[in-house]
Amino acid sequence: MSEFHGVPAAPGPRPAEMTLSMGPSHPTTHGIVRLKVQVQGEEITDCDVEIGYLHRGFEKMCENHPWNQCVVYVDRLNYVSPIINDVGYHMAVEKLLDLELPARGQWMRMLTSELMRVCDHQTCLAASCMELGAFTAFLYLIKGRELIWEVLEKICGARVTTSYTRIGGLAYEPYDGMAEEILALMPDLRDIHTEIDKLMTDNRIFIDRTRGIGALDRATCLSYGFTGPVARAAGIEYDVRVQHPYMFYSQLDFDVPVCSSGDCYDRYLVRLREMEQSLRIVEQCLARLPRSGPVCVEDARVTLPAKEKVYTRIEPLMQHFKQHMWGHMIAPPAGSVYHAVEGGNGELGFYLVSTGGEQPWKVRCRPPCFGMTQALKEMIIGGTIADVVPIFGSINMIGGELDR
Amino acid sequence: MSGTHEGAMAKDGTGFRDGGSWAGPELVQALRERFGDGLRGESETFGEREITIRREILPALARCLRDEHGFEMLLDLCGVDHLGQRAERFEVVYHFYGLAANRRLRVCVPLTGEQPELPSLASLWKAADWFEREAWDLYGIRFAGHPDPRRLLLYDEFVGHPLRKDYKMKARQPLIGPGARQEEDAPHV
Amino acid sequence: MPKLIVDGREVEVPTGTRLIEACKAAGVVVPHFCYHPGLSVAGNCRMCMVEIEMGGRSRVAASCVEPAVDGMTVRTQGAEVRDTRQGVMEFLLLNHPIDCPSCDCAGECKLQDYYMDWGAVDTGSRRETEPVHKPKRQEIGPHVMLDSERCVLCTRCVRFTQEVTGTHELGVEERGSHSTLHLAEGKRLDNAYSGNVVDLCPVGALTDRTFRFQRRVWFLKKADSICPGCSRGCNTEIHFDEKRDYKNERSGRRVMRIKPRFNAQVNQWWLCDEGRYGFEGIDFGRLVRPLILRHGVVSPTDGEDALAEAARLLDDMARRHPEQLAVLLSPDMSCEALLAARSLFVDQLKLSRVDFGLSLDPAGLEDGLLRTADRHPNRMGCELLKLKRGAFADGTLLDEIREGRVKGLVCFRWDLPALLGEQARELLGQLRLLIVLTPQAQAWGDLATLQLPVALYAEQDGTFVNFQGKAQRFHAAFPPMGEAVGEVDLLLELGQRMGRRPAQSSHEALRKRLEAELPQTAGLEAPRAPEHRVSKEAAPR
Repeated sequence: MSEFHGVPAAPGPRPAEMTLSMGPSHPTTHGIVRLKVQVQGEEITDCDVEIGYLHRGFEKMCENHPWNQCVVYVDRLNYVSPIINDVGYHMAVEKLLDLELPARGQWMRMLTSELMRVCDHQTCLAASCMELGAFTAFLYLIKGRELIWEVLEKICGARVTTSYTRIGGLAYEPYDGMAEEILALMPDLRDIHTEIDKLMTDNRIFIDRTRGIGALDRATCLSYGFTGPVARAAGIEYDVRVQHPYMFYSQLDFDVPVCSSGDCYDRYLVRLREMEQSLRIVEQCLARLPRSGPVCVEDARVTLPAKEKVYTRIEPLMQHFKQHMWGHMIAPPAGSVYHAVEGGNGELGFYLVSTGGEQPWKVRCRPPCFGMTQALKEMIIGGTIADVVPIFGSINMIGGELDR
Repeated sequence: MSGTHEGAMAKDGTGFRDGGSWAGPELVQALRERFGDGLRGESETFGEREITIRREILPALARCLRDEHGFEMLLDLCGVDHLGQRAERFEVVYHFYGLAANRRLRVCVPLTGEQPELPSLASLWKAADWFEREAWDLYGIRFAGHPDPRRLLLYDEFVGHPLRKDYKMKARQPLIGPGARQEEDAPHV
Repeated sequence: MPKLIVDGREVEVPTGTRLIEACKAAGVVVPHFCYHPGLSVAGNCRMCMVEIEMGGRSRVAASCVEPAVDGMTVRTQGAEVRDTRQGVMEFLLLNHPIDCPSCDCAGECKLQDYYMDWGAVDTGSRRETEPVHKPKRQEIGPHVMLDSERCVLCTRCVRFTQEVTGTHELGVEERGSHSTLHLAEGKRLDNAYSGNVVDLCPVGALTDRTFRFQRRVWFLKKADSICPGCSRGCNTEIHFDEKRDYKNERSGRRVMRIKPRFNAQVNQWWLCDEGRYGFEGIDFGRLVRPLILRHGVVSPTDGEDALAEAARLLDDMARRHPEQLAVLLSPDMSCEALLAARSLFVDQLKLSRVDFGLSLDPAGLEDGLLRTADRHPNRMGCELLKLKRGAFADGTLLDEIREGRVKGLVCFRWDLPALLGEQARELLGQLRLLIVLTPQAQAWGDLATLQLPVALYAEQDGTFVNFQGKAQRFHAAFPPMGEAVGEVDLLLELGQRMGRRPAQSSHEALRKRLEAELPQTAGLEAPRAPEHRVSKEAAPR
């Protein structure tokens, strides 16, 4: 057998063994990932997971921009649930600055984070189901996502690259009628999720494709650093909102679904159930969201004055200028801090190092899907090529977060 | 549903308002008794427990944390370049987490010199494998005993370690691939 | 010597010291608008109020007026002081125009800085009447623009024109909230030091016309330098931005403005307008490539070729007819460059016709303030380094050329038409060898065998010795333009190519030799590398 892209064929008379490249341009390896698999017939005997195709120098960019400007890079980490990234990063900076948002701002952050979590799970399930041939599920879930995105666009001006949070608060106030509009979505969203439940959960084909596929034992999962829905599907009871509550999560009533076997089916189930729990959280947030009041801290160093004032009075204009000019910007004191939030994929941690300057010294994002993507090799070896599809879909590898 | 064991997480833990449960001083005391001056320092800022250790004790400390103190998870491992800020330029920062006790710990290992090296923890936590590859890729920190010391995020022909502070943000790389010609004054790092 | 406590710190100051200076001695900077150590005390802004406790009584008073008295306890922070300052800010901002987006002063404006430092209290909603409007955008002089609406009436500029220049161009007319800064009847702000009022102005009322809308100050970097305009050697800062040429009206501009640095012995806080605004030549009209005259045609060439030719021609003439080779150095050159030149031409090549100027060199205007008659920064350096003044005294260079005794001339930096006069052009054409080392493109370049581009003072490190004998160092702001090279590098390279081995063959060796010969150059603080982000506070006012 001749070489294939520099990889020699295995020795001995094995005419059916091949080395194939699944990806980087493969519909399944969305994100982008290259799986260099060695197959014997359909069975995968070895694999090398090659990532980095979406590496954009996130950390380097953050190191060269002021603290408040990093939000646009942070957005583009897990780009299917960007507000969660925004919240995570800014909570870490606020830890350095010792700022606490007013309640209204925190409720809004929680509310939008949970909506984004629903979007994340909808996208993941939509893609996984579609790749298994269940195109209907994809359409329904994307329709559900559209409903949420329309509201989010009204809240923060964008569907995907939201840049919604700022140091010490939010970019925008909630708009009039937001609560009613979101509540009006709930029945529609629940209908869609129920529909997906009916279509997929007891679906023979779906079960055959996902049951017993891609599971790893608990110890291995912990060793790889699994967190989030994939870990909870394997029975690891860890949710950052529960173990390390932030904002007002400890005051809310919600369940965190857990399964036991950790295969693709359980991962699907955990995500499906989590969407419902996130909707419950959203309803509670809306009930407790103060109708008026500031969403940002009252600190002139970090909070921008309202634009109507900036354009008509000298004092707010000067304050605006002083927050944006090099040499005058906010500079958190020197130190390092680690803050984690529960992202769509698990523990999304930000490790920030400040040297007292206007630009961060280091902005490290702990990507939750890193461990799962690394474990992909172990998950797919011994399975067939066809099994790669549900496995890859179930770990919800997001390229922006993985490669940064 | 169809034979799976579905449930919900027990939520009787009490987290702290500042968003994290971190290891307490008693752990540091236990480590100090075990490792003596291998423990260079400890601090608690923003409620976070951090210890700084000498690189020699890293493998033993890591094993001790995992097996005796219940830190089952290595959540994060990253390099830091303190060029111009500290005498010891590089540092590797580990974030450990113990699920049962619900506590975190940060371990910092300062490294001297321009070719920093550290023992690999890939045999203790599988997560360390890729994290260490990334630290090599972006910072040029070597991990002795690593099973697969290749670049992770960047392509093989990449020159340099871009997250180092002396790598300019807008530096150019030599062109690669079958069509590229290497001119004498081609832009290079 | 009164001893007092400022914010818990004890300090002892000379009798008669104002409280604001006593606080500074204790490391506390009290906010102020109208106070300036170089001007008389006005005490009209009321921003420098501090709480003074003495003999059990406590009062709030202006620290620029109050003398430091033994036993005082001064508090510059605290609720009462803060309320006072906020009250002062409210009055100052009441009629202040909303100009920040188009005001050059943004980023170095005292109103912006103090507003944020002292509570950022927006009292704008207390206004009940229309704001008072005053004349804006008035070209009150060739260099200065006045916007009376932005003025906070500190009267620093008024006192400057009264006490420092004695020209009395500015004054305040009307009263109350209609007080307006204006020009005196029939006058324009055209004295030779008009630019200093821009430094003095704490807000954007008085601004530089040359700097208007050129660059936002937070993009500027600064390098410490010395003005080369005359022999006083005023200390300056070069403010430049090399990275954003796309913003420049004229492409290639690097230097945005020149500001004075405080130096008690040399120039205090001031700088003359010629030194302040005369920086066009740093970025424009430069010679950027060596030019060589071959077969009657002047054409550009590369540095390798030019240096090789220069070395060959000089070496040839120096060996065969050293008495016919003349070197005209310049008091615009740094001490280091002069030393390298002396080393090569006098010590190695043993030439006798080496000098640093001609009496044809016109003198400048000497005023009683800063400017001296000598238009060159380093004549003292030339004299102290014993660079034989008099080899060409009284126009003998032209005679020597006319009578064929000088057939080769190496000329450093001089603008030859300006120096020698138009009629000398024909004479220079008789030279067999003319090497011109110049930063600027030369008008008579077509006569020169070789024109080598050299770096300007802003592009290299060096030392000037002013007319008082004070040695001062300046530091490169940016690398030389195009293929220009510093004279020291050039001379060292030439010497090497000519096979001569001078005693000092590196920058460090030259520096050591210089410090040994001229002790006043030793022990000076090495210049700092350019820093980012200019703040007006950095220049003491």
